[in-house]
Amino acid sequence: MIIILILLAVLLFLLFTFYGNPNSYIVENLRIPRNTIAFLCGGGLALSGVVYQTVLKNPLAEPYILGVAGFILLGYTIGKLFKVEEIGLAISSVVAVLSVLYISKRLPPKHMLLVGVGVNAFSVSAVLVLYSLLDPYSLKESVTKTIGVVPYVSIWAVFIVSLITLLVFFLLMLRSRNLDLLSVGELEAVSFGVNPLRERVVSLGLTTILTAIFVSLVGLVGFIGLVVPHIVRFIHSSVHSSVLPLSFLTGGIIFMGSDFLARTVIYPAEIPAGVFSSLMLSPLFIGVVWRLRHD
Amino acid sequence: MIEVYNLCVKKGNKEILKGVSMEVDKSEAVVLIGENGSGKTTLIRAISGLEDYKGEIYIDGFEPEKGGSEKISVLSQDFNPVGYLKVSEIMGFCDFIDEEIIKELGLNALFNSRVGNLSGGERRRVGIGFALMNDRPYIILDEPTANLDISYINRLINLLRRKVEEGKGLLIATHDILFAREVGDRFVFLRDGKVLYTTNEEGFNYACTKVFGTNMYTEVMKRCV
Ligand SMILES: Nc1ncnc2c1ncn2[C@@H]1O[C@H](COP(=O)(O)OP(=O)(O)OP(=O)(O)O)[C@@H](O)[C@H]1O
Ligand SMILES: [Mg+2]
Repeated sequence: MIIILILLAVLLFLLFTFYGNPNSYIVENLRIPRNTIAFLCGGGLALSGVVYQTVLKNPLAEPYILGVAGFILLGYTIGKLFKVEEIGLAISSVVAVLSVLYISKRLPPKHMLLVGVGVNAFSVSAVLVLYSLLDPYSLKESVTKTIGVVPYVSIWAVFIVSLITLLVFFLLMLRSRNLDLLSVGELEAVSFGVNPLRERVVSLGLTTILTAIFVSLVGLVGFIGLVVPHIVRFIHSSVHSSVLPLSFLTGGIIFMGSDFLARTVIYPAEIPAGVFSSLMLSPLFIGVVWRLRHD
Repeated sequence: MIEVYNLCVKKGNKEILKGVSMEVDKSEAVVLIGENGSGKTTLIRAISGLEDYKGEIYIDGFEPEKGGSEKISVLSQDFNPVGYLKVSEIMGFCDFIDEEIIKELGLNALFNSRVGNLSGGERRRVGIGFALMNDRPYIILDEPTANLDISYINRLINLLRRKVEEGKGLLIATHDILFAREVGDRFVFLRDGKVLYTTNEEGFNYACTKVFGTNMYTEVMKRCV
């Protein structure tokens, strides 16, 4: 299964990279970096979904729907206003993780999702206002930020983002058994030497690093984090040593595909990649909700 | 040996355990009996290292957070894994698989189900199986009989007595006094966060009457009518 997905990912990567008749400049400096970022972003979102759902014991949790991504985008935008994007990102990420941890102990899962809806609505509106303050003609840019657009970035940025993403992936893989036990129960996990609170903080912290990176690069992308882990669990298994890599690959493939459609469908113009991933996945989202109706 | 001395646990402003002392040795089943809200679950969570406490807890000489909690296998009162886990996957997380336990708890038929789709009693049996199939010297069960039908309660009693014979130390919280009497070697009666009586079977009926205001035999009679 893993091998098939890896092959598929490589194949699509090559296809999307050499599609049409590009010259080597386009391939090396534009398409390879962009495809890589799209892949990592999709994979990172899916990883976040896996971790959020397990750690919060909430099958519909993920950074986008809980408002974490929106809040971080707001932090980023406020930072941008003062030309300190990194600080905005860092502060909003920390605040977001801590609030999720705090609230999840005090609210039932469904209420958490509703709080997320509220935070999201507020954040997105505030982002649109702030962007207009920044530049009255930036509405298009700000709107695309709230849907998700894969940017062209330098090969250096790609290198660093890949490094961090893979590092987070491997660190999560090392914790996969702890995540398994946590999904059985807190008390049960303790007797296996797992410290539930530490586990929550560490794994949410790790995935939030990814959320922060991809919110700042790509913007808000919904549904991948929520749906992909469930597809994998449904088709394969719920054990984290397979859910993590399979979700990473599947999420990556889906978003890389969305980005490919995004830049070819109305070529030479572009549609935000998030439009296509949502188009594909939101029906599946409804399917997932339906399937989980008894839980 | 699990040793608890003068254990006090506070939640918010409320003192929930007020100086509890008790022990569980290997090769014995100690039953923790008390009314709703008397502090049984809190005591179990403290032994597992999930509550801040004053006083002393040692499990084979180790405090819970310093390796002690890794010597116990626990079934929590609200055993409720994420719904999409399959029973077979949960069993896969255990240290070993014991066909006898699987059979006695009727888990074979549930192997391919997702936990989210199980009935209350079925889920309970999965939790019991999970707790019994780990290599720990001590087993702690919080209300194991909740939701179980009478035939499974009987099988559970046999399984637990077998564990005692194998040398495990058992701590079982329950308010089912009939089950308690059958499975336990010693009984710790809790009331309002304090140990009221610690007794073997001889003092059991007396203690029951004091704690619940009804003794075991009238309980049996009530059920037989
Ligand atoms: N977070 C909390 N804040 C305040 N009080 C609490 C908290 N958690 C539990 N309690 C109280 O502590 C007391 C003991 O609870 P505990 O769950 O240990 O009882 P129990 O003996 O297991 O009861 P049961 O038979 O119903 O399982 C109860 O009165 C409960 O209301
Ligand atoms: Mg209890």
